[in-house]
This record gives sequence, C-alpha cells and structure tokens, in this order.
Amino acid sequence: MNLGTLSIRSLLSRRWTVILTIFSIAVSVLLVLGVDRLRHDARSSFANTVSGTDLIVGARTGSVQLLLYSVFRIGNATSNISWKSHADFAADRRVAWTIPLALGDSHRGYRVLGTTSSYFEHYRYADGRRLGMADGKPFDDLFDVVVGAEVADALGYTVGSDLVIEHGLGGGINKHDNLPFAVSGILARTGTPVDRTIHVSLAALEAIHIDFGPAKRAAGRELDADGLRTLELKPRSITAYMVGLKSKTSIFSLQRDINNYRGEALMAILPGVAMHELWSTVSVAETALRAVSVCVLVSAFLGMMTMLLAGLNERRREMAILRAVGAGPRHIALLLVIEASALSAAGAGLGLAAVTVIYALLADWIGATYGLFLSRIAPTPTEWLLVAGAIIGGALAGLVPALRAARQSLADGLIVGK
Amino acid sequence: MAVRIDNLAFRWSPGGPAVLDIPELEIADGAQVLITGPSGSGKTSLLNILSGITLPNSGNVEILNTDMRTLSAAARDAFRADHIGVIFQMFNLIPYLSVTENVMLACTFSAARRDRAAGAGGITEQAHRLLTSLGLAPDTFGSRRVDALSIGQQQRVAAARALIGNPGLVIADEPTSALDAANRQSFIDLVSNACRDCGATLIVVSHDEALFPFFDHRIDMTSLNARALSGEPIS
Ligand SMILES: Nc1ncnc2c1ncn2[C@@H]1O[C@H](COP(=O)(O)OP(=O)(O)OP(=O)(O)O)[C@@H](O)[C@H]1O
Ligand SMILES: [Mg+2]
Repeated sequence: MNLGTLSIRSLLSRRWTVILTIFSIAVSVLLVLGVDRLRHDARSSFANTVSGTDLIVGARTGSVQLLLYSVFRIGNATSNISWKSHADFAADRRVAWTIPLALGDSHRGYRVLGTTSSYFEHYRYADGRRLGMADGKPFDDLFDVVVGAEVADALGYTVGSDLVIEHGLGGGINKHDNLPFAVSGILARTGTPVDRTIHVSLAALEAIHIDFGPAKRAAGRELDADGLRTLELKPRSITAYMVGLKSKTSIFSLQRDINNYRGEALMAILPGVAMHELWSTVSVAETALRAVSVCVLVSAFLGMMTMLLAGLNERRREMAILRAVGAGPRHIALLLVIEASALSAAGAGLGLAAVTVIYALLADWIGATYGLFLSRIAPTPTEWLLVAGAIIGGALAGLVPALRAARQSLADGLIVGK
Repeated sequence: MAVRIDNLAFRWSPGGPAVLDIPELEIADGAQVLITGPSGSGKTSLLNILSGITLPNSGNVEILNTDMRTLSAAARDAFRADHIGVIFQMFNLIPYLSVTENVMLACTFSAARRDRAAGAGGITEQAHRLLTSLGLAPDTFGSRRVDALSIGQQQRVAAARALIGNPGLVIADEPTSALDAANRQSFIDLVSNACRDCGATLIVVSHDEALFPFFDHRIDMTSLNARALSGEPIS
C-alpha cells in the first residue's frame, strides 16, 4: 500500500461524486479539444479551397469581396468585366493559363458557374490537387452541365439527368425551361465550394441569355436548341478570372499592370493574402469560442476543488488515522494532490478518447454535410500536450484542498471528533 | 527507557493555562502502564506529546531514547511511523480498506517497519498472525470490509495495526470505552499479551479502574500533573 493506491482506493469509495467530477472534466476537455480541432480543420479546409492560382482578377471592389464571390461563390459581383480585357491579359506573355468565371444564375439554390475547359485542367485545390470526375466527362456539347459532388448528391443527379437553369439567383421565375441542359459529368468530392457548383460553358450562358426577355420572344426570334448550337456564341463579359503564371516572379508586375489597366477598372488580388485577410475577420469568433471552452475547463476544475474541499470535513478521521500511522502533513497534502491529478487525468483521458471517437464516427457525415474535412482522427502531439496541461492544471487546483487538509490535520493531531 | 520526561510544561496556546506540568516521568522498556485521571486532566495531551504529534513548550521528552526536541516535525512523523503504534477510542479503521489492509497500513509510511515485518516472516503473514492472536481468524475476517465488524472486533484490528512491524511503543487513548465490560477486559488482555510477545511498551489511557489488574503500573494524572491542575503558575 502506497499513497497512490491509497488515494485511488479513497476515490473509489466515493464513486458517484468522483464519476460526476470526472465527467465534468471530460466534457470540458472534449469541448476544448473539439473547438481546437474544428478551428484547425476549418482553417485548413478554408486554406485548401483554392491553390496554384497566382492572381484573381475582377471588377474593382474589396479584395475580400472578390475572393468571396470568385472562390467561395458567396455574394455577387458589383459589376462584370469585359471579355476583351480578359483576352488581353490571357495573351500576356507572363500568363500560363486563365480560368474565366461567370456567375449570376442559379439552379435550385446552387450557383451556376460559366467557365471553359481550362477550369477542369487548371483549377487546383488543397495541396495542388486537380479536379477529378466521379462520373461522366467535362462539357462538350453546348447544353452539357458538370455538377459538383454535393449537387449530385442533394438533387439526385446522375449522368444524363435533365435540368433547367434559372436566371438570376431567385427561385422560380424566368426559367429557361426550353433549353435542354443535361448532366454530362459529376466531379469527385473536393470539400470546397466546387462541390456546390453547377458548371456550364460560357457559350451556354450566352445561349441562355440571348433568348431572354419577352421583347425578343415576341419578335419571333425564339430559337430552338439546335438553332442555338449552330450559332457562334461569344461571351461579352465574365465576372472574374483566375490566372496562373509561368513564373511566380512576375506576380507583382502583372498585378500592377492589371490594376493600372486603362480599358476598365480592374483589380488583381493574391488569393493567399485575401484569404488571410478574410480569416482574420473570422478569427475573432474563433478566439471567443476558445475562451469560452477554456472557461468551461476552469469551471470544471473549480467543481473538482469544491468536491475535494467539501469532502475534507468528513475525512478528518481518515486523516487522523493516517497521521497516527506516521503520515506527515506533507503526505496528507500529497494524497489530495494525487487525488486531484487522478481525477483530472481520468477526465482529460476520457475527453480525449471522446473527441477521438466522435471525430472518427462523424468525420464522413460532417464532410458530406458541411464540406468540412476532419483530417486528424488520432490525437496529435499538441493534443497530448493539452491533455498533459489539463492534468497539471488539475494537480495545481488540487493544491488548495491539499493545503487545507494539511493544515487541518496539523490542528487535529490524533484527537478528532470522538 | 521507553519514556523519560523531565520538567515538561505544555499549554495549547501561548499565554493560556498550563495543561501539563510534569516534573518527572520514566517508563521502562517493555512496561505496561495504565494512565487514569478525570476528564480534562491532560491525558490525551500527554499522549499527543508521547506520539510526537506535539512538542512541549519546555522540558525534555525522550521516547525510546530519542530526544523529541531535536527532531523536526517531519522527523517526528517518521519516528512515529517507525516506532509507535496508536490505538484510538473508536473509528480506528479506514472504511475503504479491508481488515488486512488496515493492519498493513502501518507499514505504508515506514521502511523500517516494513523491514521488521518482513523479517518476522512477511508483512501479510505478520498481519495474519497478529489478527489470529487477537482472536480474528484471517480466513474469516482478513478480506472483510471493516464496517462489517463489531466495535470490539474493530478495536482488535486497530491493535494488530499498532503492533505490526514491532514498534517499541504502543499507546492507546481510551481503547475500551466503546466496549462492554466483558469485552474490555478480554481486549486489554489480548493487547497486553500481544505487546509482551512483541516486546513493545504499552501505555493505555482509561477511566476504567477495572483494567488495573492487567497492568504493571498505574499513573494517576492528578498526582503526576498536580501543579498544572492546581492552576499554580509555572516558572
Ligand atoms: N485542541 C485543543 N486546543 C485547546 N485546548 C485544548 C485542546 N485539546 C484539549 N484542550 C484542553 O486541554 C485540557 C486537557 O485536555 P485533554 O484532552 O488532554 O484531557 P483528557 O485528560 O484527555 O480528558 P478526557 O478524559 O475528557 O479525554 C483541557 O482543559 C482541554 O480543554
Ligand atoms: Mg482524552
């Protein structure tokens, strides 16, 4: 029998309060670790949205706004840019490729993106991964549509499904339902906004709008699908475009040239810089969440302290017996510190196990539902450190009842309440 | 000499009344001594000093030839662990340990005591032997929960704990007051025999005059501690 076994046996004899204390520590450790993991995953999933793109070009606006609509497909461009300016820079000798992006229409709540085959060739996300086809092929025919993985899942589309593209972002009015769009391919899941996008060719977008408006219909200029196929549809404007350079060294010179372009007010942003700017606005919430979870942990330790302190009075006998068999106040204090450490170790261990299991169980579902990819299933070194910190914190919290017990046992000596 | 006290004075608070004022007290090794005296005469206070829990304000205390005043508080705790067994009036046992574990608890804080118990055939073996000699068959009682014992049985377990690892001195503060008359005498008989077997000095505090025949000596607190009890100022 040593102090360690003694304290464990003592804890086991107070099973219910001990279990509740361990649970409250476990829950708060789960919260701290969970928030940390989500934060980390949200950040990396965010950073993974686009990669390999050197510049994003759009009409002059805020850089975060440009990033939001071009990459995250959130919000709208205040104005479009001309196809001509795009063509000018696409032909620049420093430019390796461009991906034109034309936004504006939607289909059953999902954004429709007009682009070119360059998208499937050059778009990169995460650490340079390219888009893969889960099924079918990129667009070929004017009315071919390539849908993201989530769109296909949510709307039940397979290769060959027919769909109708709506004008604008609203639901219902002005459906271009006379044009026979059909799914030609489904993209593999990326965990980025690509999953929630419906891709059509720029020409198809033109085709939708050429025929748009009652005036033109009335004029009898309504064309059928085959008629449209015969037309040479040239885009007049797009929303933004992504640029890949031959050499990174020319990023700033090209950015300057685009920003100073005479034909129209253009703006070129570095995606990494804009991402950082965007994230720093989000990180306030992140810090708040973290602070709350740490507060919960602290309150769990306060709860443990209360439980240990409250138990001291009815344990005076126990302490007097230990004093009688030769324990000093140091041993009494150590006993309580060991108890506090054991409680926090058990709580922290349980919390870590819980976060690991929950992550393992929910990873797929969260990935599918929120497009948030939970990377780490096994605990990381940082998490072990956090757990070690929690145990040390618990041991420190145990110092309060420990000192109190030591003082009490000194005052009591061998004669305690007869 | 198991105990040697010289001009001891003790008060609970500085400037408060003297609780103990003992000019001289000697108890020989292996002696069995009964201390009697009215309530408030300072018996428990004396046992606190004999066990090294407290120090007197002045005078000398030697326990088993060790001057308590030269030892730090921690050293006195260690000394108690090594050399002294203690039996309380009641509630002697830790409820979450079994009977045998309670007996072996006395070896927790003392390597010397562990070694002596090991030398006497092993810690568990000695615990079982002591329980047997105190009338508790280890097979029946050894692994029992202590709250499944009668008060008399609990006191015997406490005696076994006081004796494991062969301490030089066993002190007991009214160990029989929770027992009925018949049990008191048999308990003291068992304890005094067990102490004799181990060669331990036994000092028992009790109000109970009927216990006197079991002891070689009797000390009356009222005469030992006369000056303090009369309220005379102590120089
Ligand atoms: N912790 C304490 N603080 C202050 N005074 C105390 C304390 N314990 C005992 N006393 C006082 O010291 C005196 C002696 O008390 P002690 O407990 O030694 O008597 P006792 O002989 O053991 O009495 P009893 O037979 O009732 O157990 C009493 O006057 C008591 O009030
Ligand atoms: Mg007393």
